[in-house]
Amino acid sequence: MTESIAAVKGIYIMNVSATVSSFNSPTSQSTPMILDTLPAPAIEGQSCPRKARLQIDLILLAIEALELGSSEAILAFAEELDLKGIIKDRVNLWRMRSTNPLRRAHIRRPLSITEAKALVVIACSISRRLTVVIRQLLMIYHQMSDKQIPLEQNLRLSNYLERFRAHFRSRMNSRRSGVLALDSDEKLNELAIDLLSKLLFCTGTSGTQRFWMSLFDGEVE
Amino acid sequence: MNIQRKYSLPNCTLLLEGLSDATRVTHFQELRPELSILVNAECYISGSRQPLVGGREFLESLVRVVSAYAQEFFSHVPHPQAHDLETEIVQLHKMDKNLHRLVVHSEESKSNGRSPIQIDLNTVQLFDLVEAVDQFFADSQTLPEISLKLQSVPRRYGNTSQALVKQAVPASVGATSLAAAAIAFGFLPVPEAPSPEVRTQSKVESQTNNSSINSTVSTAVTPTPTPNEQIAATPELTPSNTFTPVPNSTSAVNSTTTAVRDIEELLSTVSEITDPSQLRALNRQVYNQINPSWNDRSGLRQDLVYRVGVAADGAIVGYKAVDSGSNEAVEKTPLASLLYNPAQRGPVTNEPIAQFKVVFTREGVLQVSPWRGYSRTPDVVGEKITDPTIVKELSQKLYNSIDQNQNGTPSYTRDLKYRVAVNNNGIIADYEPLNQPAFDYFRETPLPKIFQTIYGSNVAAPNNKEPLAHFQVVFKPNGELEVSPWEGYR
Repeated sequence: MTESIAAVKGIYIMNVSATVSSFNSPTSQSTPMILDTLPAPAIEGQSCPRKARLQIDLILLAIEALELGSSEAILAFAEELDLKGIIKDRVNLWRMRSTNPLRRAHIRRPLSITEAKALVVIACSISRRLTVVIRQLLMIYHQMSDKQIPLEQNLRLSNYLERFRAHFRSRMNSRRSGVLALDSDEKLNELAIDLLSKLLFCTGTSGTQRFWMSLFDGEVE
Repeated sequence: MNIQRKYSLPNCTLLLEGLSDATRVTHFQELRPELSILVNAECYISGSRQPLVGGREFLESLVRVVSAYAQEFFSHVPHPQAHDLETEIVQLHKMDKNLHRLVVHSEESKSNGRSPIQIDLNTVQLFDLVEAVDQFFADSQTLPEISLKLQSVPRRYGNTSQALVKQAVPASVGATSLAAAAIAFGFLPVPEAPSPEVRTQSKVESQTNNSSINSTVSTAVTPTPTPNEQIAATPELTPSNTFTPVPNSTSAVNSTTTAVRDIEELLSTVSEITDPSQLRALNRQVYNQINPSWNDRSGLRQDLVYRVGVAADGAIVGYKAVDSGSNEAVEKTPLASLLYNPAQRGPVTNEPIAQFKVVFTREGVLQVSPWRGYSRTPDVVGEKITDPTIVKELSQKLYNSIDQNQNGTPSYTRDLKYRVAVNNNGIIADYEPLNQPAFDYFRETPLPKIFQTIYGSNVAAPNNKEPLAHFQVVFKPNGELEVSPWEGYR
């Protein structure tokens, strides 16, 4: 008896959620169900560590570089996934993302765990929709770097890299040490490819959970 | 009833065969009966001819390591379960930011002495492997007791402040610095290993280990402290008399365990040398101490792997075998005889220590690399010749001496890049491969031969006392040679 499980992403999402959702706390009634698939990290307080704020914003930045109009898509997904209560509007979204300490317009406001969960769920949902593009770009990247061909020679890949660099430079504070270290096109490309690879992992069956838990690596007791 | 389950992705197929538990199936006719007893597991990776095959122990190791590595892939924080070299059949090593080496030590390869299976995966292939594993985890009708259990990596003591930059810049430890990491002549770049603190914590805190797994693997080598004890052991603790005198070589086997504790205890009381440039220089010193003393290189039944603690002056202050095989065969290595002698040098008290991974391979090759790799690009140590006229002159001399010694048609298809240092007289004082092909094909270049002629050994220590001029030398597949001024590691 042979069974084949299709490689279609998302089939097992519900299945996974079922196993994780036992982490529900009694107070989570007001938060949307979809966020219950992500367990609360074992950290103090209800706000995200610096690293998590940075990573979430960067992964969204990579999505924006991948697809034009993604900032609208983020809001659209918030609507679709019933997360409007958390991500209310454009300004609200911008304020959350500005908790990234590297931002020019960095706001000293905490990013709550619930808000972070919502952003992660949305980022992963968008990445799943972009699975094909992400895979193709990474395959192109592997082929080109194997053959030592400059990445600029591929139009699609260089479009992504160029947009990512432009987004990064226009929004991040170049005086921050984390940004200072990324002073060349080459280094920003490296970061862009790293984020693209992470986006690929976000598309997976348990990608959302994996991305979420990794945000707190090295932070929990 | 024989059942097959297949998790199929473009680059990876995981095929499980097993049986259902008859007592549980009889209740009703299930459309998709539960596979509850695993008979055989096979994993096919595109581009690799041989499938990875094994039983339950293999599958459990595979899913545990792949899952941990995937988490590490996201966060760049070393995950304890991704690097349990002591117990895992399956291992995943980061070769560079987009290349991951899957190593499987099958029971078969152990018994008939064959080397483990190695498959290099690019990131997309790695993802497909992770996804196959995740689909298996999510399948509640196949070994339902094995499911995805994620947990964030606990905080390591100290150096968390550096985390940000490391996050933002994916570790620039590419093929280049990996080649630099393993001293000149090993054949395999040695993987980065996690810190000992994290490693031991995994035994205690991990959830992904289920009890059946623990029972199948031996965890005897590392003493397992409780998490609380570990948190208490901050580096600020003043050094105490935890360091026991160095064992002598006559009781090598028994003494290893003493050395084991020494290195771990030492590390909890003294600081660790992490400066990449210093590590690189020490790396060579360690190599050059061990290599000439390793006389009988035959008859190793496996690669012998040790964690070796080294003081800033290069003295070997402790070592520890990473598995029982290495522990038993320690007599076949010169390590015990090389341990520093406190009578001659004075005791190790509060000195910082560097850790290296030292591998004595079955093929008789010695490999030394920093235990945790390099945190950033190391620099060349030592005084440099900078006068442009002299450098130019030396560059021409170097070109000629290499060119004259070139012979044969290259079999490599990619550029071989080396750092080559020469002294004031144009004599080659040092060379080091900078990329993977350079590492693999160094014998096709005249460099080892030139070195051998000058120093009587192709692994002589570079003399860093005299000023040197450094160059990048590139051997091209078409036989061309390029010599350019050294601009640092990249």
